Formats: sequence, structure tokens, C-alpha cells
Amino acid sequence: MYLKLALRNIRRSVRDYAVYFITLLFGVAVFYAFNSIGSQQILFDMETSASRSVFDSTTYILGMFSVVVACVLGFLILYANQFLIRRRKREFGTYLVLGMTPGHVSRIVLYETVLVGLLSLAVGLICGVLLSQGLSFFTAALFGTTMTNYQFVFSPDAFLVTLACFAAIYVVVAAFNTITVSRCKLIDLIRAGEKNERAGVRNPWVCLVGFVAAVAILAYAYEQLIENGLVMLDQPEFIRATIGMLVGSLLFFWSLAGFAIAVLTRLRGVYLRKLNLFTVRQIASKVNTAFLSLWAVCVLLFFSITVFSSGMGLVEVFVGGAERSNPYSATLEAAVWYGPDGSKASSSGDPLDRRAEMEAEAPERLAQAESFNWDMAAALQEAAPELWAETVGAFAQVSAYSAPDMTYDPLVAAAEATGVDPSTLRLDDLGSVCTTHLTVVSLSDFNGARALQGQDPVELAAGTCALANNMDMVTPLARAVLDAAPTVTIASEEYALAGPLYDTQLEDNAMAATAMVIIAPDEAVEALKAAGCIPDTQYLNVMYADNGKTAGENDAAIDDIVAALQPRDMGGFEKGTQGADDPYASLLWPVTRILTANEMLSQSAGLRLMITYLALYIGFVFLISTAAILAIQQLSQASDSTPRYRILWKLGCDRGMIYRSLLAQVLVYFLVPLGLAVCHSVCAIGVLSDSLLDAIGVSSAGPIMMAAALTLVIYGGYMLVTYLAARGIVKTALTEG
Amino acid sequence: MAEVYTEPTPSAFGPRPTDPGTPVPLDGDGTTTLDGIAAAFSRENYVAGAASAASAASGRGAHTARGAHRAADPTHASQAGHPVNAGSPILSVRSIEKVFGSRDSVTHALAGVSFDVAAGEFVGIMGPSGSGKTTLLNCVSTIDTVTSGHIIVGGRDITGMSKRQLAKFRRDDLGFIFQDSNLLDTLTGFENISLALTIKGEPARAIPGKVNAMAARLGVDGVLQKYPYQMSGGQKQRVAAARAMVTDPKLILADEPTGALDSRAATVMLEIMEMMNEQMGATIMMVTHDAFAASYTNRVLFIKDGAVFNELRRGDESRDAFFSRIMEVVSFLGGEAGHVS
Repeated sequence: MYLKLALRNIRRSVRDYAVYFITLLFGVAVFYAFNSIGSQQILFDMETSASRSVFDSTTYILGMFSVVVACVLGFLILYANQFLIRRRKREFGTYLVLGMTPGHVSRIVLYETVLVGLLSLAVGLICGVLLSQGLSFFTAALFGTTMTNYQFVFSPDAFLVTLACFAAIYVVVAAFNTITVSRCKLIDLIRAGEKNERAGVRNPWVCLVGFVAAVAILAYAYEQLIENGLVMLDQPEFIRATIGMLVGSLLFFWSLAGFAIAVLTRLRGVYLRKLNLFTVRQIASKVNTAFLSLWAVCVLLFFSITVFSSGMGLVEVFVGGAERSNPYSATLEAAVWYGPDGSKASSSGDPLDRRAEMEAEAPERLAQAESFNWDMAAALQEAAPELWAETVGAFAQVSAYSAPDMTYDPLVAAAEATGVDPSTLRLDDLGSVCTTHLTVVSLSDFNGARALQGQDPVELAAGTCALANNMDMVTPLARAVLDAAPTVTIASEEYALAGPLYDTQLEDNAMAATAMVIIAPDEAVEALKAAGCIPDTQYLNVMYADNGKTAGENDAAIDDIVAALQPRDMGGFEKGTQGADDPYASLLWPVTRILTANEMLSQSAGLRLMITYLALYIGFVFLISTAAILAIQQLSQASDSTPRYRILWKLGCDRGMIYRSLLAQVLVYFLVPLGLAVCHSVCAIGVLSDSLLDAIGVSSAGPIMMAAALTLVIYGGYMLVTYLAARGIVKTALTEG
Repeated sequence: MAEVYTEPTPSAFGPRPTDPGTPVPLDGDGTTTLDGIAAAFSRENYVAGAASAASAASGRGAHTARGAHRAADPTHASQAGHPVNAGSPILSVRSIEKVFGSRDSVTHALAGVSFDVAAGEFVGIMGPSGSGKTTLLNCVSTIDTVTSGHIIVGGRDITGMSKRQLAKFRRDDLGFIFQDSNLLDTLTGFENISLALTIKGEPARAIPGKVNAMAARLGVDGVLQKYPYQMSGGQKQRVAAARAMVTDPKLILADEPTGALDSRAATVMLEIMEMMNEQMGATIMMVTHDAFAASYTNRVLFIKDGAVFNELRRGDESRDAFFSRIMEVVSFLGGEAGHVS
């Protein structure tokens, strides 16, 4: 019998529940779909372990964020439930008057919760499985491939995780509902609904002051944020900005309604027009009682918009330049020497000491390198001549030397002396650049690298050096240095630094990595060698032969070639294979790291996958959660206000007038928190792109447009549905009796 | 003077010549009973009227004149087949029927009701629960629609209007006073009264003046900045009355306006309505079950089983006397109801 009653209750309040139910569906579906990503890798013909590990790490990170998402959804469900339960106090009171015990009423509510939960879980999981199929195609698009062997994917893991998460949420919700209902006193239940809307009036002067204070605090927070530049998250400016934003927004919503009324009542022409005064009071009473949830909605919206657009912006940072920063099939890098303690950058100490240090610590490597005259290709070719011939089509080596004569400091000083605005040079971001010795590459090495990429060779006028740079963060400094046209000293010889600025990438890398490299005449480098310098770092850039093999197979062949010469473990400098006493000896030369374009591109595709999914996941869940809270509040207000609409109707308002008022209420209620959140986001994203995205040369317009589109569709969709449902509620109220 | 009262009274008991289809409360041997009561009523009316005439004459001179004017009341006139010689009726209800329910169980809430209300009249509608008086009010106020018949307000038939026209009609021509005041709880008194003007499209600059003037006349200028929950029941009703009056409507419909008030507040409210009628020229139709409230009107129509059952005119007799006559009909109606059940 109680079950029947519960079923009837649900059916009857379908309109109140509909938005909540749909949101639950979305929540479950999205939760499943994003947790099932790990299972999608079977769809793709994974060439490398790198691509596979991308899926693993994506799954792992999404799993971590799923905890956050589960918490948000849990709070949403709890909030919505408590809200709907509180609205039904009168109904529960009637049950109690009819002789039911609180236990019975709790049981009815429990049945309702369980029924809605089960239904939403079942339907949501079905939707989720369908959604995850769509996500597979999306994944394929992100990887830039098409699926050749599509098959239906079902992820038992994601299924179980979703089931467990939502079951836990429902258990908590059911417990809360039971407590809420059983703690109610009959008198409160019967009289519920009589005493609302009373707390909604505030002193207009207090509100006026509050509003001005809110705007001031927000302005201060923005100023702090702009000052901080959103680079250091633990700076006091950032903390002050965050607190200011939170407090300012709260005060804003607290005082908004009172302020608006104080202003609007003085604008008689607007206020005393049609239903305007009713609409304003309607919104004000809701905003005054629900300012806390509006605040929470605004903060969540701000967060999701910012996360989404800057997340997508970061994708471009990491991925957008991948093609440009990986012009070669593969780069084999020789670290050569790191200084006596093995972990410091080669910039420390005197470059002239390095040979002696290396001779002391790693004599075999030095001997090997010198026996090949520092020619990496020669060493590898000798170790595996057939495989080399088969795999390598063209190659060019770049040896970077540190000039012992000079650090970058005089160049920076010269740049500053040109009178350029020091802040544009980003010296704060460039760290120890001043104490670093000049990086010098010979003209023929440079031209070799250019030839490999199909670029024209460069010529140097007698007695000059050129400058190469493509790292965006350093570009302003490089340009200023060229403007200053200083001289550089290499092996005691002076050269004039002359333009233009070359942007050739000298290695495969995750990003554009050529930073203020001095291109010197070959004789200058010969003089450095003669003075006793060994190369600082060497890059052997390779283009694969047209041998009919896939890029993955060629990557493996390169691996094999290197393995023929030295131990196979290519995990990195720290993973020396020779034991603690001699950690680097085996890996200093000829190859300490292999980067292949194929691997880099698939890694960046993986990164794109991960960040895109994260941004979508978080953005979507936050958006539906916030929109659902607003929708539930608006719909319940519409249904609480039906007596008011009936009065208006009796007084002679036609439906058009009433619906317009309703539309205005929904619009204002949805758009005010969004508006403030957008203001915050514009500030944050603006600062973020100034400090971060622009520096790396990424426009944030695209991601912002995507965020706007996502918000428009989801938030706008909820807004539309809310208006139509509210209109339905009012229409029914006007038609009945 | 007395003959003015005796004439319409008996006729109201029988079917009116103009409405041959109107059901009459007849049962078995009811005819004789009715005749007897009718006789008794006419006698009583006559006596009561005569007795009160003297006392009323001194204190309420104005009423005497009004009573005389009402002798040419349209109801009477049309019944007698004479043309209307006073201002044409503001409200003319013509044999309206309201049927609820499906084929199986039909309920005639209104079964052919006809009456007129002239400009400047204060008419009370009385009847036992379920008699159809609220349905009648809802039909006249266009909140409900009639099944058949016509309602003509200010020369326009409202039964054929579209929803839009009805809404416009309500905001332009009608004023409402409800039992529970029906003020909007989120609005101040000032805003509640203003609302009636703003939805009419009144220019904003004219509104404050009109609202303040009306509030002052009805004695609620002190509560204009208060919210309904800060007002007493009587104040709320008077604000509601101000809201109804401020648009200067053709007809004010009041549904049990004193129903939720204590007797002192009720008296104040009724005096206000009387003042609205007498000094401001408002035409008021008030539904009430309270004989005391009805005694403030000029004329009381009794509705029973969906039809006009009786009609009492006050003329220039005192309110006490009118009250006594109303009570007699009320107790008769109540007694008969008891007899039938």
C-alpha cells in the first residue's frame, strides 16, 4: 500500500521531479561514459605503448576527477531531495493526521527515493552505454584516425563504479530524507507553507551599502588577480583575489535584490509599468531567500567556465605546436656531460673544465666520443650498418657548445638599454638565463638542420653571428637583443650579432625549444674546440627512409640501432644501468634520449584526449548541476506562486502578460549568476591568457567560443525547459476552476 | 411608499413572466405552503417597512430619496413590461445556466437566473451553501463561463468574448474584493493598489496620485508601505477595496468580503463599502451568507437551487428593519432545507 502511495506521489509530482530526474539521468550517463574510456582502447590499433599508456593515464586521471564529480552530483542530489521534501511537509502532515506513524511516512519517502533512484540509474546507465559509443567516435576524431573495426563497447568496471557511487549517494539521501521526515513535528508540518516569504525583506539602505561594498571587493579581487598574473597560485595576491571573489560574490547576491528594489522603485516609469513591479518583487523574494545557492551556483559556473576554456587552451599549448616542434622523424640526443655532481645543468661552472671533469668521471665515454670525433651518426652506423641504411634516409647533427667567454647577461643588459618596457621582456619568467653561458651552434650544423626540414641555407656576413629563437616566452627578449645589436665573444674573438631572427627548431621536442641560440661561423666553433671545449649537448636529427615501414616500426628500428651500441634501457638520465657508483657513464654518449615525432604526436594527441575529456566532464557536470538547482528552485517557486498568478488573472492580466513576467523571472534568475560568473571568468581567463597562453603563442578565442557554446546549449537548454515547465504549471493553475 | 415594497415581493416567489423555464421550489403540496409564506412575508414586509419608515426618515434622508429612485428599478420595470427609465442597467443577467458534470450525473449549478443591477446599486446575493451564488459571481466576474444564457455588462455581452477580451474586460470594467483579500503577499499596500492600474496600462506618473487619494478615502493611507502580513485583516480588506475601486470600474464584485473578519472589522468594512456606494457612486454586487452584511445593501437577491428565489428591497427602511426581513427569509430557507432533508 505504501509502495502504491509512493508510486502515485511520483507520478503526480512528475512535473516537479522531471528536471531533477533528467539531471540524474545526465549525471549517471556522463559518469559511466567517462569512466568507460579505458575500455575503448580495444577499438584502436595502438601502435606504440605510448598511445596505450595515454589511455591508462587518461582513465586514471578521469577516475580521480570522478571522485570530485561524484561529490558534486551527491550534493546536487541531496540538495534537490531535501528541497523537494521540505516542500511537501504539508502533505506529510496530512498523512500523520490521517493516522500514519512517522515510520510509515518515512517508508513512503524511502520508497520514492529508491524508486526514482533505481529508475534513473537504469535509464541513465543505458544512456551512458549509448553515450560511450558516441564518445568512441569522438576519441577517434581526437586521435585523427577513423575506426576500422567498430564494435560495441561495454565497460563492466565503469558499470560497477557508477552503480556503487550512485547507490552510495542514494543511501545517504534516503537516510537524510528519513531523518528530515521523522524529525518533523505535526504542527510544523501542518502549518508549513504559511510562514514563507516573510524573511525576504531587507533594509534598502543596508542593501545599498552592501552592494557598493560587494562591487568594491570584487574590483579589489580583480586588481589583485591581475597583479598576480595567475602564475603563482600560492602567492598572497592570488589568495586575496580568491577570498575577495568569494566574499564579494556572496555580498553581491545578499544585497542584490534590496539594491535593485531601492533603485527600481525610484524609476517610476519602469517600475509602475504593466507587471514589472510584480516581477521585480517575485525575483527579489526568491533571490533574498536563495542568495546562498545563487552564490554557490555562480562560483561553480565560474569554475566550470574557466576550467573548460583554459583547459582547452592548454590543449592547444601542448598539442597545437606539436607538428611545428617535431619537424624530424626522430631526434637522438646526447647529453654529453652534466658537471661533476651529475644532476646540474651544464651552465654551472666553467665550460672549459668539462672535458677534464668528464675524463675523470667517465673516461670511456669521452674516449669513445673522441674516437668518433663526436660524430654520433658514425658511431651508430658502425654498430648496426644494415639497419641504419634501411631506416635512416637523411640525417644531420647539431652540436651545441657553451661559450666560456660570455654569459647572456651582457645581451640582456644591452636589450634593457634599448629602452624597451622591461615587463615585456618577461625576465622574471626566464629565471637563470643571465648566468647561463651562450649556447653556440656552428653555421653548417644549423644549415644541416634547416636542409633536413627543407629550409633554405643561411649565410653569415663576415665577422657576424646570427640569433635563432622560436620559444615564444623568449622571443621579445631575442628581438630586443637584435635591436641592440651587441657584440658577442666566442673563443676570444668578437662578432657582431646581426639579424634576422631565425625560428628553426633544432630538435624534436614537446614544444618550440630553440632559445636564444647563437649561430656562429664554423671557424668560431673550431676555435672553441681548439680551446678545449667539448659539446654541451648534441642532437642527431633523422628523417626515416621511404622503406614502406610504419613510423612505429621505424621507431623500433632506431631503438634497436641504439641498443646495438649501448644498453637498451632508455628510460632517462636518472635510470643509469651501471649501478650507483657509475650512474651516468653508459648514457652520456652517443645517445641519452630518443624522441620520435610519431611518439610525440601521439603523446600530444593523448594529452589532448585527456584534457579535452576532463574539461568536458567537469564543465558538463558542473553546468548541469548548477542549472538543475536553479531550475528546481524556479519551478517550485512557480508552483508556490500559483495563487498569485490566479490573483493576477482575476485582476485582468491576460496570459501573455503573465507568461512574459514568468519569462522575465526565469531569465533574470538564470542570467544574473551566469553574468557574474562570466565577469569573473573574463578576468581570470584574460589574466591567464596574458600570462600563460599568449606567452606560448596560443589564442584563447577558440576555447572561449567552445565554452560559450557549451554553456549556451546546456544552460540555455535548462533555462528553456524551466520556462516551459513553469508556464505549464501556471497554465494549469489558471485553467483549473 | 409602502406599496413599493409589497408589489415585487410576491412575484419573486413565482416564476417570472419573462422566464417561463425557471424552476420553482415546488414539491408535492408545496404550492399552498408557498402561498401561505408569501402571504406572511408580504404582511411582515409591510409592517416592518412601515414601522421603520418613521425612524429612518429622520436619520437617513438621503436614503429616502434613493429608495424612491429605485422604485423605477429595471427589474421591476422590465417585469411590468415598461421601458427602463432610470440609467440602463450596468449588469443584466439573462437566464444563465451552468451545468457541471458529464451525461451520467448532471448538476445544474445555475438553472436559469435573470436579474438586473442598475448603476449605483448595492446588491446582495444570499443563499444557502450550494445554492449557486458563488457560481453566479464567478460567471459574472468571467472567471467561469456559463453553459447558456447571456450576461451583459455596460451594454456588452461578455459570454461571447475571447479570453483576451475577457482579461481586458476584467481589468477595465470590474473590481474584485475577495473573502481573503487576495493581496499579493510580496507587494506593499501601495504596490498592490498600483498593480490594478499598471496592468490597465495607466501612465506611471498618474498612478501614485490616484493610489494615495483612494487609500486616503478608504482610511488605509497609513499602511501603504506595509506588506500584507504586517496589516490587520480589516486593513487588508480595505486595501483590497482600494485596489478594486482605484480603476473606477463599472461594477465591483465582492465575494464574502467580511467572511474572515471579526465583527468590528466587518462593520468598518461594510461602512466603507456603503460609503463607496453612496458617495463614490460605485455599483457593487456582494455575495454573502451573512444577513448583517446583506443589511447594508439596497436589495438582496436570494438564490436557491440555482435560481432566484426571492428578492428584498430595502427602500428607505432602517438597516435593522431590513436585517429582520432578511433574517426571516434566511430562516425560512434554512428551515425548508431542514424540512426537505
